[in-house]
Amino acid sequence: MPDRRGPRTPVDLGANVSLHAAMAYTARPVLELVDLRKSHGRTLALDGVSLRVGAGEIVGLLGPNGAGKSTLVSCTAGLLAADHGEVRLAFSGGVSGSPRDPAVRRQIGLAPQALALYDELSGAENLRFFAGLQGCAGPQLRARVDAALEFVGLSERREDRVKTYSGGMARRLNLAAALVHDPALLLLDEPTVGVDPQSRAHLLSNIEQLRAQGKAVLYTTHYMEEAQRICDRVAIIDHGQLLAVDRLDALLAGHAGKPQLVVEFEGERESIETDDPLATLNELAQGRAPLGFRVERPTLEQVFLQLTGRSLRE
Amino acid sequence: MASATARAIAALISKDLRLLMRDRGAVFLTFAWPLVLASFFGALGPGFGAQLDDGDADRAAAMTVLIVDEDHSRASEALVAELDADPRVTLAPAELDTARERVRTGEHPAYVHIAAGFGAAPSVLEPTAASPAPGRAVELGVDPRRRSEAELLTNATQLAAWRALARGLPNADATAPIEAVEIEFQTVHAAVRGPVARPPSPYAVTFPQGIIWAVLACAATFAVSLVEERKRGTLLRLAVAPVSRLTILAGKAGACLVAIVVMQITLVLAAVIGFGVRPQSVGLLALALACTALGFVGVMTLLAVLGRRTHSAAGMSWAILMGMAMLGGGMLPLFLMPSWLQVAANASPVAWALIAIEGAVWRGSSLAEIAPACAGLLALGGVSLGVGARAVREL
Repeated sequence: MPDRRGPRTPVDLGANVSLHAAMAYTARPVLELVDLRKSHGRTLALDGVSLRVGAGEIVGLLGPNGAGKSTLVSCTAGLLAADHGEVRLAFSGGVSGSPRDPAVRRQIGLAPQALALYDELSGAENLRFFAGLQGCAGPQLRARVDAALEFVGLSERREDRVKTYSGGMARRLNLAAALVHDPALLLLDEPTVGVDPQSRAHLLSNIEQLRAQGKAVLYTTHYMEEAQRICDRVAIIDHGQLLAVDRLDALLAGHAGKPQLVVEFEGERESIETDDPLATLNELAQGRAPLGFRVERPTLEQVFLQLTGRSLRE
Repeated sequence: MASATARAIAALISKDLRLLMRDRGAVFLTFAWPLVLASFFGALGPGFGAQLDDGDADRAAAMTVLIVDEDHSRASEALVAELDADPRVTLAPAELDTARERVRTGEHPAYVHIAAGFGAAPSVLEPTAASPAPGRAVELGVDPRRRSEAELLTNATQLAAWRALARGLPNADATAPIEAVEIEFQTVHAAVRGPVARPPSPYAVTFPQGIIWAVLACAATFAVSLVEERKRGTLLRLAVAPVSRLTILAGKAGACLVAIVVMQITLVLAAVIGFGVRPQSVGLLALALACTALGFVGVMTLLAVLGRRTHSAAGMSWAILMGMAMLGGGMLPLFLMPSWLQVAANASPVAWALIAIEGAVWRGSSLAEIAPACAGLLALGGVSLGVGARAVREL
């Protein structure tokens, strides 16, 4: 089991996060992005992004729509060529190089934001096709398809056409299609968009299992609660720039302020930032009885607000 | 590496054909509709060549033969009646000169000439010392390139002659010789070939047109499917797989090619078996169909990269293909067009395909005559595929 907890890293609060922070993770790096820049016409989609993802690590890429997340994923998968910088991939067994190299590409699994599936084919047919393109054949292909369907809980619906699946089931199959060939690096682009809570929980559980299997996962999302739940490190991206990359607690401590204690008294409510909510509550309760209280923990929303000056949902 | 690429292309082809077969609308448009069009318009008959009897479906596949009866004896009339009763043959009366001219111009495939004195000559059942062989003879006038029609007509005539003789004999089989009537072949070289030749049957025109519609439907269907893949994101997933963009395009083109070839074979078999169309050259027909298929597979790839959205791609594909079809004789047969329009039609790849296919089916064209059309189709396919491949690389 690889060490998932990298050292705390200093965060550069300037326009770009420091290279040191972004590259600080010390587990065997699978993916290394070095100073990536990419423009779409006059729009700068990526502006000097550097990031490293290690084996057995989930790195969340958090940012609003249009922040550059999908462009980053496309450059990583070799679908787009960066204008500047480098995408380095290194897998066990000595496979390394550019994502345009077919041998390297076999180690990458992509779950695009769109449901990239054939509605008129069954779940198993979809997976057989995608696994076949990845070079799987014969008994290995059958085993991989069975394992992927089992993994996402779709074995019982394997012969049903995708058009009969619910949105959540289709999302799970979308994930299965990304991992059916057993890649070492998974690029998951908003994999839970538009699914019900039950399917979302299933998907997040699946992704946590992938980490346990030693996969490197780059997980783009604009759902902060998901990033908080499953990501070992979170990278915040806006306008093509990585604003911060760190472990969740470090980001919260560095950018979200202290926990907020809210105490309600007869006719009034007090709200205080504090490192020690219990002690503060005791102090406030001297001489008057509180009607109720709650502690509001810092969130990534506050981190994003602090770093960008706007809400993630704006 | 090569085998991996071949496996990937095979997987892509298999996937696309499976998707096609599961899309009822596409299956109908691609497979059933061209067959319906060819059969329906062929059955209408007028304007396409030989006139078929209205409502006589059993005669639909029959070959229309001109009959010249100069004897008008009981024997000749019995022969004509029996020949007319053969489901493979429909007789149309004519004078000898007219019959020869119509066969010469390709309007009819053959004529049967019963000369004066036919009934007076001894039959095979009345052998004489001077004439042990059949004394009665008929002349079959056929274009030598129409061997299949000649063979069919010979068999039908012999059978009709036997039936005519057997009318008066209760036990004719016991003494039946090999030939009931002597057949003299009169070779009639069609002087009029190529663009101004007349088709032997309506189906010889409508089935090539049906093939064209099937090809166009396949091209449009697969062009739209490639755009749909881009829209759905499956193309993105394919692009991440360790296969080149050209392999992806080859898979799509291969699936389109297979669908077109299957449809072409289906329509040709339906025309030959069900509607009596007799291609004058099977080899040239195969060449024409192959060039048509390859040409329009290339067009498909070009159409696929023109539209960014499914609806615009579908609209653009059909607009372009319909334009080609209307100008090129896919709707109105080329030989019925005004001469200036026939000249203009040469700009349409559909016309090239029709010239090649009709040339092999009924125009009696030589390889040299259909070669320019075939070369044009191959060049069109190559250029279109090249442009399409270039665009797919940039996906």
